[in-house]
Order: sequence, then structure tokens, then C-alpha cells
Amino acid sequence: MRTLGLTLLSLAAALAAGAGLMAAVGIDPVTAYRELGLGGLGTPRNVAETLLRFCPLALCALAVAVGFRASFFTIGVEGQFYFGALGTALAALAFPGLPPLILIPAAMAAGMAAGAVWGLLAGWLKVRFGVNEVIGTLMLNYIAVLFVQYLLRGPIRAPGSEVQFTPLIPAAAMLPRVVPWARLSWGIAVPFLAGYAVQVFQRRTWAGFRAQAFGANPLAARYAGISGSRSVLVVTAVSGALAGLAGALVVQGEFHRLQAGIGADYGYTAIPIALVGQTNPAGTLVTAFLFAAMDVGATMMQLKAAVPLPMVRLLEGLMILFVVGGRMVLSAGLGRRVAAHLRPVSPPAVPPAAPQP
Amino acid sequence: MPADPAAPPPLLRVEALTKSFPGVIANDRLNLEVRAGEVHAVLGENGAGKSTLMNILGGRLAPDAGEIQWEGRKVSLASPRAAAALGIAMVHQHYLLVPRLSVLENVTLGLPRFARGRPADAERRLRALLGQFETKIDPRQAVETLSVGERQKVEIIKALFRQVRLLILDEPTAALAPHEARQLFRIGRAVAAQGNAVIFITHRMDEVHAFGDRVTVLRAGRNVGTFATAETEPRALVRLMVGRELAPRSVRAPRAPGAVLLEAVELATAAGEGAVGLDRLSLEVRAGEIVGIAGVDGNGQDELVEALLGLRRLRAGRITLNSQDLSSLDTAAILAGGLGVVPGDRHAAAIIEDFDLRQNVLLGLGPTPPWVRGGWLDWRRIGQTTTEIVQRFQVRAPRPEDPIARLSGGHQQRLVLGRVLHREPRVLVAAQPTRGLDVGSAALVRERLLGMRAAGRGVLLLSMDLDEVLELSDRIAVIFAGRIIGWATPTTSRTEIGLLMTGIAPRRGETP
Repeated sequence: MRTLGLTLLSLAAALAAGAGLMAAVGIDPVTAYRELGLGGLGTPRNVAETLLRFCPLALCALAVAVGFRASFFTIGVEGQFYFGALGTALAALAFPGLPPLILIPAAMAAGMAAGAVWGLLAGWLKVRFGVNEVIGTLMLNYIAVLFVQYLLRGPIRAPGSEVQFTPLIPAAAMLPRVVPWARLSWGIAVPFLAGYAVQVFQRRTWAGFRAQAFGANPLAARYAGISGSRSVLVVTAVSGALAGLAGALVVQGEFHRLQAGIGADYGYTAIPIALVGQTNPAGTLVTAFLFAAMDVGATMMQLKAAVPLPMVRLLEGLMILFVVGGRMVLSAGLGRRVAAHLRPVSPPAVPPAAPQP
Repeated sequence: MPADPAAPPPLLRVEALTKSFPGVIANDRLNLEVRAGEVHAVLGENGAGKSTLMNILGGRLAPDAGEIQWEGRKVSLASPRAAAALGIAMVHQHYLLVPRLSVLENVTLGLPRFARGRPADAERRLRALLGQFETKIDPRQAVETLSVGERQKVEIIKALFRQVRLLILDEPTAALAPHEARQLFRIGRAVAAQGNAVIFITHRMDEVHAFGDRVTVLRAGRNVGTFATAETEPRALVRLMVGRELAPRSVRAPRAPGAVLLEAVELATAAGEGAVGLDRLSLEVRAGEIVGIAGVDGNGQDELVEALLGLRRLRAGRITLNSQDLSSLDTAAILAGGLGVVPGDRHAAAIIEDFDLRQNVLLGLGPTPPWVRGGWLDWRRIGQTTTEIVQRFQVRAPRPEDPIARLSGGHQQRLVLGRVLHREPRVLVAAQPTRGLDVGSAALVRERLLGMRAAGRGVLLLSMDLDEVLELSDRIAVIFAGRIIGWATPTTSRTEIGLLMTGIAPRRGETP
């Protein structure tokens, strides 16, 4: 409750600072924020657009959160997202004859598996060779993104097409739309199911407990017989599968094919979302929605209030700064109390009323 | 307290100091007077308010009420910097050093350039100080390569380097061998002799009398008496400290040793943080006995525990438990095979501070039924077991859902011991099981170790506290430079064991 209040306060402070900046460069912040809000959530169509953006952002952020909770500081969601999208597209294109009831989940599963494999690779590099996960996952991102680009230039490009994309996937693999007038598909249910699954993983399974224990105190975990390697491998697989699922959703629910630039940097935007969401599933979903609304609203703000797009990125930056920084300011203010708690401050060992000898 | 009008004001006077935390009054109108030139012991159980008082003196906590005078003038210790400016330096139980930096860098860290002097001068001064400690620590060595005892020396040297006026030592001898403790107090005495003062916090009565000029006893946040140590006797102080008579120390019933449970043969490992690897170390623990390992810190104790647990690779040798070969098993299998452990460094290796009591219990229980079935956690059962442990080990804990960081060290250790004994290990490896604990918790831990013995199980006890080793063990192995240099019995004289601890091997024919 306390952290939620602090987060909201920090967000308000970030918006205030953003308003100041806009005023300083001659933009009316009231108009700007109104257009931002209306653009993201003002009409049903805009809400649908926001939810569409929310799906991959939320799943990618969950992938980051799972890793960070276990102290596996993954930057690799972007690459795993692309692998997931590739896996889904290939699976869907390979089995055009299957009925939707089979092909939709199968293509989705293929995306998750592809993401998990790419995630596992980073985990394996860390476990086997001690490769730092930040560097490992970042490098693997380049490989994944460029590999997909290469495939789109030749091997899997739609025949006769100038654009770098695959043919459309069979209709049986497409996620049905929620309403006819918006691109939003029933894939919107997936982030919530995934968030719940992550919650269950972290709270109810030994694998999730083990990962968090290892993340919080590796030495104590090792003394308790917890294998760090196994923990890292499970976490990277789960995280990769979530990222892959995001890729699957974008292919099956939005573009209906694999094409260049499909990722829109979701994997990187996901990192601050997970951080602002305190790496817990509910917080991550809420933050992802907020970021999605800002993203969609930004276009409107740009058009109607003549706010340049960089200003929106700046606002997002301010939010991260204030939320993450706010926690640090708080902990600095609490520093003395925390220091006191680190020392054993227990109740008196003897009731004060004990008779004096 | 009688005041002599002719005497100069005391170096430090604390009057009616009060500090409360939610639900607890840690310091309750506490008075304390420390004179220049004295070594002043502060005695009290965990929770008596010692740490709070010291944190206030160190400028890390602000008191709710009360006054602090320094050489007769009222001062405000608003920050650690303000305290340091007066010359108050603290050495904590948990060392505050940067592992990656060298000893020299740690000692000079945070000093303004003029106080640090030229690097060469600083190093010369540091070498001189190190020389007084008769230690092999090199100023350029990284702190992470030092043992616990050596790190503590660095902490003290760091304080001495800063022209300390009041040196506060929080349980300074917990990690030291007797001769190291004597060295430490020699240095403390020298510091005091130059018109400064030393406060040391302790549980150990022998130290109070051997090294303190005066002693202040704290109980429930109040000063219940300050005495010249020469005019007090231990039993009276203990009674003041705990507010009741202590039960007589446990007496071991004689037992015939049973079958060999744990056997380690010619173990050899690479060196760990203590910079000593095991060197063909052999020992055995039989059913119904406690084998004590005595030795100066950093002689392979940590490495032995890690090797037994499968956390450190064996270069050579064999470990069997109940004639099951453990040598190639992983830690989980070794724990499942019947070995239990109480890690020596509670904060680093036994508990997870962010986790609640139930999670910490689960950590010790492992993925075993009925708490974990098919990978699924049964929080109801885990909670039940936690409550059971809390009751059986008298853990003073509000609720199983509360973070373990809220517990005092003694009660954390009760939980750690409770969860490992819940698995009913055949052999328990207990490293420093009572280090830093309050009297009550330490007694409970010792009692449970003796309970293991009485139940026909085995205990391997590693302790820096020679008294504890002598009191509990059936046989005592002295470890030095990674090997067992000699064996002793509880009747062996302390001097003889002390000689072994410093590496002076026994004459031929004395090993059993």
C-alpha cells in the first residue's frame, strides 16, 4: 500500500516536472496533457488501440520482471520477442490446413518455445561460462534481430514482394477481433493470464521460490542446497517464453505476418516498465497499461498540441527517474531507521518490571 | 554516581537518554559515564539496548530525549560525521568494509586528502599499526581475501588510523582466538593510556574482568549499575544482567561412542576466502558424540564446512555419511542424505532477510513433502511447521508472515536451528552456532546440540569460543593451516589447546 502511494506520488511529480519543462519551451501543458489523456483513452477506439499496444508491452515487462526478481538482469527480451514472432510465423505458415482451435494455440506455443530457447541460451552461457547476463543477452539481441532481418530479406520473404515481410499467416492462426471496428484481438486476455501465471509461479511453485531465494541471497540458497544453475535456467526459460508469447501475439493478433520493425523496441521499453511496476505482476501490468496509453496518446498530443514526440519520451524518462529515484530518496530518508533495524533492536529480553536484586 | 568536584569532566556523559521504536523502548532514561583513560565494558543481553546506545553515540540514530556531554560540553551527535569529528569510532559486529578494495584503501576511505597524507606515508603508518597486531595482513591485499578475524582487525585499525578518542568495540572478540583477543585488548589498553577511552560491548564475563577498568550493566534499556571491575564478581554481574539466576551450565552425561556416522578422509581443497585450503584433513563423528573443532579463524574451518556440504570441490579425499559416499553428490542430495548445517555467517549464509519466517523455514526444509509436493508449495503446511518451530524453540516472533529481519540475532538463530533439526539430520554441522547470541538463546542452542548427542546423533561443532568447545565436546580436534594438527579431550588444559591452535604440534603419541 505504502509503495503504491509512493509510486503514484512519484508519477504525479514526474507529470509536474514535465509540465514545467513544456511550459519552459512554450507549450501549454494543460492542453498537452489533455490531448495525451484523450489520445490514449478518450474514445473507445483509442482505448482499443492502447490495449493493443499494452499486450506486447505487458508480456515483455513480465518477462523482465521474472528475470529481475531472480537477480538475472536480462536485457534480452527484445531478441526473445523476435524469436517468438519468428517461431509463431513459421509454425503458422507450415500448417495452413489445421483448424483454428489447434493452430492458434500451437502457433502461440511455437512462439513461446522459440523465445524460451533463445532465453535459455543466455542462461546457459551464464551457467556454463559465467558470461554476464547483461552483456550476453544484449549480444544475443543483435543476433536475433539481424537473423530475422536476414530471413526476411530472402528465405522467408513473401514471394514477389518488395517489402520485407512474410506472407500472411493462415486465417486459422489469427486471433479473432474483439470488435469489428478496432484491431484489438482476443489476445488481450493473454497478458492477464500470463500475469496470473507469473504470480502462481512466484508464490506457489518451488521453482519460483528457488529463483527468488537465489536472487535475494545466492549464498544462503546454496547452503540450502539450491542449485544456482538450475534456478537460472528455469528463470531464463520462463522469461524467454513470456517474451516469445509477446512476439506470438503481435504476429497472430496484430500484423498477421512477420515483418521488419515488428518489435517497436518493446523489449527495451519493458525494462523501465518492470522497474516502475516493482517487478511484481500486478504492478507491472498496471504500469504497462499506463505506458501504452502514453504511447498512443503521444501521437494525438503531437498532432493537436504540437508537442514533439521526444517530449513524450522525456516524460517517460521522468517517470522512471521519479519512481525509481523516489524509492531511493525514501530509503535514504529511512536510512537511519533501516540502519537501526539492521542492528538487533529486539524487545527487552527481560520485562522491565522484573524485581531488582 | 558520586561526582568529585575536583576531577575533570568525564570524556563522555550520557544523561537520561531515551530512544523508543514502535512497540519497544530500547533506551529508557539511560545514564552512562566514560572517563578518559579507561577501558569500559558494557554488559547486557541482546535486546538490553546496547546496540541502540552505541548507534546513538556513533551518530547513526537520533535519541528521543536526553543529553550527551563531551568533555563537559553538551554536544549533538546528529550524524556519523559529527561523531567522527569528535573522535568517536565504532567497530561493528558486521564489518563495514569494501571487499574489492585493498586494506590500505579501506582504511583511508572517506578521509580527506590532507588527513590521508601521501600514499607512501599512509602505507607506512598502516604497516606500523599492522605490526602492533602481529598479523600477516598486507596493506595492499584485497579485503575479500581476508578471514573474518582479519577483517575485524582491519576495522579496528581503520578506527585507530583516524586518531580516535573514544573507540567503541561491539563484541570484538566473537571471531578471535584467545591470543588474538589479548592482542586486541593490549591495543585497546594502549589507546586508553593516551588519554582516550575504549568501550567494549560483550557477553563474556572473563573479558569484563580481564580487560575492563569499569563495567556498566544494561538491562531492558537502563543502566542497572556501573562498577569498578575489581570490586565485582561475575555471578553478581550476571544476576544484574539477566535479572535472575542462570541455570547451571549443562553437564554432559557420559556416553559410550557409537558407530561412525560421518567420516572425512584426507580431504584436500583449494583455498577459500580464508586463504587456506584443506590439507589432507581427516576426522570422524560417531553416533552420540559432539566433536568440537577448535582453531584460530581462517585455518580452514569455512572450507571444511563447504567441503562437507558439497559447496567446495574436493581435490582429493572422501566423505561418507552412514557409509553413503557423499563425495560426488550435490548439496541438495547431501542434505537429503542426513547432513544438517547451521552456517557460521547467519546473515550471509543462513537466512534471507527480505523473506518472512515461513519462507526462511521453507528454505531450510527444501523441496520435500509434505511442504512441497510435485513442485507445488503448501503454504498452509509450511506455516504450521513454522509455528511449531517457533513454539518449540521459543522464537520471539510476532507472526510467521513477518520478515525475519525483525527478529533479533538470537531469535533468528533459534529459527535456523529449529528448521534444520526439523529435518532430523543424522549429523549436524554447527558453525559458530552461538556467536553473538544473547545468553538465553545461546543456552538453548547448546541444550539442543546436547539433545542431538543424547538422541544418538552426531554433531560437528566449529566454534571460536574455546569455552564452548570444551563444555560441549566429547572430543576436540584442533585445526591449523587446513589440517587437524592434534586431538584433545575436554580435560586437556586450555594452554595445551592454545598451543595447538597456534600451530605447535603435540609430541608424538598424544593423538588418540
